[in-house]
Amino acid sequence: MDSINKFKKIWEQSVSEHEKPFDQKELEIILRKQSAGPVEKLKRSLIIEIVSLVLAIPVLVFIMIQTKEIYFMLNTGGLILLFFLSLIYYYINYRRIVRIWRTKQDNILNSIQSTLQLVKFFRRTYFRLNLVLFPFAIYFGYVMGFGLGSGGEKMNGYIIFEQFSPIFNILIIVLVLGIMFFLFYFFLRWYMKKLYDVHIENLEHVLYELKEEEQEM
Amino acid sequence: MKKDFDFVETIEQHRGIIFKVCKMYCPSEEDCNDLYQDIVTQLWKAWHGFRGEAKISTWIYRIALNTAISGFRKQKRNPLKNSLQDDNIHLTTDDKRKKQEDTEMLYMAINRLSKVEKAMVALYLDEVSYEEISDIMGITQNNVRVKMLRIREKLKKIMDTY
Repeated sequence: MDSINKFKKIWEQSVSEHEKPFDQKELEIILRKQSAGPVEKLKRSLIIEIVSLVLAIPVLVFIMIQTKEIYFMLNTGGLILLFFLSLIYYYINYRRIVRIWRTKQDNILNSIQSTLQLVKFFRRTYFRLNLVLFPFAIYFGYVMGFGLGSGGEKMNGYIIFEQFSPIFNILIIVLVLGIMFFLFYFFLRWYMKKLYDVHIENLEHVLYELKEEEQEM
Repeated sequence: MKKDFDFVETIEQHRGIIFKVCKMYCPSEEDCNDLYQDIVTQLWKAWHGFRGEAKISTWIYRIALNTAISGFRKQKRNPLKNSLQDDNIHLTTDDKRKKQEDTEMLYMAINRLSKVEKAMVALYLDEVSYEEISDIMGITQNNVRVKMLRIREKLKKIMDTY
């Protein structure tokens, strides 16, 4: 008991030497720096993705209007559709993130649970969408970027697909997309792990520690 | 404006809590400053929703500990200077030097605890009741008792080794 009282005394005096006055000016400086919490960072990432898609769609619509070939119109239209569906998916998930964060967080346990749920949800959303978005965007980008002239007319020599039969074309496209899915699957897994898994493991450990006694009782 | 002034005054009165939490969870001075700013920002954001149902210190502890435990923070360089090894420190009296050594030792011991244990020990050393600790942490009072018993023993053992 004596040692605990001693700890309490040391603890009490520990801060007096580090104190510095807190004033309105310091508050303003801190708020100007806007250090964001974990949820704000996730929300910001989703907003960046949403804004990028919102900006890309009108540009693609403009390109589609300029094209004179049905082949490119379909490809550009495909990319617009993909971006539009991604936009809806991102928006729905953004709303869900906000909803998860609004759940009751009146203590540390609830708050850790919500943050964990949120980070896992965000990681899943980001992974799934980018797994679809990257290969298709590269494919459509290739077709449009190399096959379309500045006047909207077709350029010869770059598009291999239309030199073969439609079935063979489809097989090539499926194969190329399949390889890209495969590569991006591993790349995104590595990337997500690097970005979020350490944090998720930490939160899971904290949660386990908070609950361990209750489970044994 | 009145609300802003109240906030500044509240933080000024309870800044000791924030400093203690920062010192407990951050091994470097740079991290400490970042965490301090994160905590003040989170407190500011929550301030307008604070209706005074809980004690102000309990509210500050809850947000500060939550920010420290769940933040996306990468640890940086420059570990906090250990005064026991710092030759440049000039202390005026033996008493002051002893106090500083004790403080450093206590923080070194706390540093060896887990994140949850750190939170609970901070609340315990600040004489927050088990009921309030249970409210802040979101666990039962029985769980608090069991954990505190274990943490006290652990802390004593660590301190004895120094």
